[in-house]
Amino acid sequence: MNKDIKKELFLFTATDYFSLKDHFEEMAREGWMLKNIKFLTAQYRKIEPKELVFSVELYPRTAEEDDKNSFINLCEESGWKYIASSKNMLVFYSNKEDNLIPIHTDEKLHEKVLSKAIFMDILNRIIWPLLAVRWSRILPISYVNLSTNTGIMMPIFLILLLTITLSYIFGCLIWIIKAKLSVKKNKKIPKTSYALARLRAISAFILLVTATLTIIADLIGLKILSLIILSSILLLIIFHKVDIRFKKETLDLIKKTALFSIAALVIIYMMLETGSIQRNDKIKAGYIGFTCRDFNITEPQIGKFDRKGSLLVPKVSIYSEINQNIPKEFMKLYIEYGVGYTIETTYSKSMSNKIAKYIFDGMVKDDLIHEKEIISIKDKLDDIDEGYFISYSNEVDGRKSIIILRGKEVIYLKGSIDFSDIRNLEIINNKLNDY
Amino acid sequence: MAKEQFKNLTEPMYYILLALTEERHGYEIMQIIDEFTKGRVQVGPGTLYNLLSRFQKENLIRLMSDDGRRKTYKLTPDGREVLEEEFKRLQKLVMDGEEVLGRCSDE
Repeated sequence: MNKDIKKELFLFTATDYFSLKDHFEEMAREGWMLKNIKFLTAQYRKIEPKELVFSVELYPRTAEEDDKNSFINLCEESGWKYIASSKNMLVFYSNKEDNLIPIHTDEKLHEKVLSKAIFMDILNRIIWPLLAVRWSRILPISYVNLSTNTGIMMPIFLILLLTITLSYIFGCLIWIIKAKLSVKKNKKIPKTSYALARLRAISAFILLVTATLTIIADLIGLKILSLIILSSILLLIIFHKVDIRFKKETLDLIKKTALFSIAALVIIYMMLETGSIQRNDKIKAGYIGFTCRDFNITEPQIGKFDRKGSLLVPKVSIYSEINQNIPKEFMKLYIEYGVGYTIETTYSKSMSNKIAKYIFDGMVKDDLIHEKEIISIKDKLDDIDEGYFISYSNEVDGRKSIIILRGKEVIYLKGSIDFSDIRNLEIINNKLNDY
Repeated sequence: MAKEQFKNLTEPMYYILLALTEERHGYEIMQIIDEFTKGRVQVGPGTLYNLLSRFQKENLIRLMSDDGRRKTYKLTPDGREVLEEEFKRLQKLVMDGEEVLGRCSDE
């Protein structure tokens, strides 16, 4: 660890203008001079403690580079030293004894510029949480969302994001009103609290890291807790201990390789999904899946097995079999609508019976929308808590399904097989008893 | 609209427009104001930059050159009109003052 360099989490916004100025001055008094501001961190270098005057300037994000440069140049010609920038924030400093003309000498005009910049910042920040709320249902959580960590965490993220955003907007509006009143009374523009700004920055950072980790955990199928611990250690090392510097050529190579790998993965995924590459998956041990062979259908079948899981529902799998003679271009349609000798098993094993019941009820409720006939099969299968046979009003594909709740497990079967037939029910019963 | 908005100029506004009767860049404007007013009126670079943007938007001044670091500006006919009106207004204020205060001192 380099003792001459200090790093701080940096996720500040327009209203933190004054609190940052004071903070940089305090750091210089303690012997830490701002060096640069990078993505999420501010870096300081060790100096002799000094009395410096800082000025943090807000600059429109949309401004052209030339405009920014001529503004920096004007401040530098006036004696201010440009030191760092972050998004729309520019930081200047001068020695206290230089006694320079402040960058802003008209409080009324300054207040107008700040209020406008803060207002634009509010608009910029409010749109994403609003869109997120518009696009996703917070509560109640759909049973479908329980099968992924992202699905479970989404309502929590949205509530936290909304809380942070709304408290920020509320704070901004209060600040704008206070600033206008102060200027009217010929008083100084009010300052904001650095501690509060830092708390908000840390909350937003934790939210960002947790959201990223949750998505990564779902993508690579790892357990979230172990991943959080591992990634947190890695992040700590990256942010505070190791100065990672790559040569430009190495960085370019890493970027290019990453881009090619992503593109290749997307193409392979799309080919698998559209049936251009035929899969012949087998059911993994520990999961339940029914095959056409179980129901004495012997035509050649293609198997497709996908699994996922979350903290609440560690095991979720979908196994489907489709007749191999079906033209490739219709394969996706066959999977979705279950035409022909197709059978699909959705299996889930939850952390508790209550969660399993929640999933079971959700599935039954969803299927009842298309229902033509619903019959309880609780007495026809051994050791199950609840079970229904459902046939659909859509007779074109003759689709039927069966939903079973057994302790922590939910088994959902759909396809063109008549699950109400007593012989088929016996097959299901025997297979379930084997698991 | 612009003329209405700039009916009563603040001191920094007045001196910036006055400095721009000739083509000048930002720092030159600051120096000229300092020279004119002998340090009485101070215009910081941020305030100057905001006012120049505002004047340019309202067509009181025109961008003459931009080399990426420095920009030079000059008054437009509209800007000159606003400046002259303000000059007349100030002159009237002084004359009124002189009339009253002069009379007082005569007595």
